[in-house]
Amino acid sequence: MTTGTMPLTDTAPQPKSAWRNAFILLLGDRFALVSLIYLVLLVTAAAIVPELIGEEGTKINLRQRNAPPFTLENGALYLLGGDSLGRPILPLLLEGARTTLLIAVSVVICSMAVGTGIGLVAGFYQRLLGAFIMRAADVIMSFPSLLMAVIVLYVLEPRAANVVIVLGITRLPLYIRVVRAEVLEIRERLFVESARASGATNLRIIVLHILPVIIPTICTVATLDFAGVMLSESSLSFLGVGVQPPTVTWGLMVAMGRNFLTSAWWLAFWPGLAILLTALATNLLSNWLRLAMDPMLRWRLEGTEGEEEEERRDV
Amino acid sequence: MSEAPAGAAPLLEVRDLKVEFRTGKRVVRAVNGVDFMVSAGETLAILGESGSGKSVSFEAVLGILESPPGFVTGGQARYQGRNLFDLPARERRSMCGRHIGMIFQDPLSSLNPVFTVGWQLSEMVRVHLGASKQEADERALELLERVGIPSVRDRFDDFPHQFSGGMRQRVIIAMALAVDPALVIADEPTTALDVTVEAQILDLLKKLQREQGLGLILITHSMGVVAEIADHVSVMYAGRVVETGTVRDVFARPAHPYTLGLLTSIAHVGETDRRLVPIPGQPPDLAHIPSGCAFHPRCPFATERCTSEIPDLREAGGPGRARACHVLETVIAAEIGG
Repeated sequence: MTTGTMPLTDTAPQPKSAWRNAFILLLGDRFALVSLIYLVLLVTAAAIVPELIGEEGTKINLRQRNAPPFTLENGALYLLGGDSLGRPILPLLLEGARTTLLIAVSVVICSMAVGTGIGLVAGFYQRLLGAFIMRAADVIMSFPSLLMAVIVLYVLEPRAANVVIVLGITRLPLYIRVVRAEVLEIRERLFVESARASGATNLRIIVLHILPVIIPTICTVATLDFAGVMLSESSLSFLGVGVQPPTVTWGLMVAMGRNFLTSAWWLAFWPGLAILLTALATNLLSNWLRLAMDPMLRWRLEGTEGEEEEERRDV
Repeated sequence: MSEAPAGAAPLLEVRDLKVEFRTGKRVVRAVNGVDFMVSAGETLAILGESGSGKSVSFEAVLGILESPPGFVTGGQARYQGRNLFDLPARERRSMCGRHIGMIFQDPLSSLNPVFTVGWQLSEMVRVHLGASKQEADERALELLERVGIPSVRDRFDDFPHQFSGGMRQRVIIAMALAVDPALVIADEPTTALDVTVEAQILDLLKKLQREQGLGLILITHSMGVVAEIADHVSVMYAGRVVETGTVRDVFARPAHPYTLGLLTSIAHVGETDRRLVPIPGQPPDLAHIPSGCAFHPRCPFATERCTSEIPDLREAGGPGRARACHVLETVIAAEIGG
């Protein structure tokens, strides 16, 4: 919304801030709203709670080994039970959320930024450079990503930073291919030719005329991919080549609970549920994002207020 | 060769322009030595079928030809005396962007769907005229008003898809005029619009051109559009100009069999008893242009000479009148007779 500072709103409706607009759009999709609330709560809790309870949350307490859930006998921290080392699962989940989410966010942002850049180049300069990039992407894709991650992390030190790099690289082809495909279509449209006719440089055309059109697509792919990355990270931890104890991640918690599936199901269940819910929430949110960022689809989310505005405008 | 009104220096002068497309071993000669000239305050129409090289010629002049496969293989394009082909590509593009407005055929895809119309227009002004955001917005509003968008202040922040086809084409005209160009090139500006809107857009173009003394080049396949708006017309066939002159002259006394064919193949109101006479055959495949006069396989007057010798564009029938035909006399005789 650029109208706020301009003198041309005298007959226009009250200038709305971007935040207010986003909020209105969010009300149009209940699932997205719930998902967002869940994610915000999760992130806030993961950021604050471990700081508040400190040592208590991760202290090993062998008396509470595999303590059953849904009882306050052992104190509120043990509401979801205790794990095989007697640590309370509830604060441990939040502790794990920090690592898991941090890794997932870093991977998504890195691979999105790099992949989009490469994809734009590959799409715009179709000839040699583009062909080379696409074959390189094919090579990465043709190799099972989990296998590659396992091998690389087995050789390298399995630290969080390495996990981010490996997962980031295996995710690159996704962005490169999606972005390139979009660029191939958009570069043929007349507004690009028209920009060229009015003297725009290639860089300007790519950044200012093509990129904004594909940003909604990239964001949708990124949010969808977020869930995928989280699952990959969990798989790596589960296989033992990801993040190592004593750092906790959800995948690691599932892995550690595996041995007790028959006797203490809650060890693997809670982190599994956390993974599921978070993946679901980001998927639902990406669905909303796709509609909200596309000016041509946005009306679906605008509900009655948008209609009123349209009517007023038509008069 | 079309001739400028006495005294006026030509704004854009294209001489002997040749453009080829090379794909693998195939060479398609899309433009084979084309001359144009347009002066300030003058409207030149380029008339031809699809594939006759009309659009390609101007893409080549403006430097927006996809290259490869397209190559300019000869000729000159002088804009206010400077040969555009002598400039490096980047400089040419920025110079053309600054001085020549371009209007494209399809208003649906000529605007970026994710930016508001006002933003796009104002950005154009900011980039080329170096105006501040506020000045640019004011100018954008003024432009939108000038091209007849109702309640501009309300529409300023609308996205392109919220406009109708005709309104979008008005916005595009506003964008072409945003930088105060001396010359506007319109590539089939009304092809995607329905007839009533077409008339409005042509009126608008004519009005703006008169107000600002623009040179206007109109690329079209529609005789109606030419008759409505142009001063001069150049008829193109297979990458050559086959006839040129004032619209009145060319339409009243066509001097090339192709022009004659075009005129007899359109319907006129009230002429219910006249049969339409289509031009037989197909436009030539530009990879295999017929020898001699490219039109000879479809020409009812073709002679032996037409199949071997390419006719030059020669002045005939008055100042500014030229045609490329060996059998001109026969055509005129036939026309008078029938």
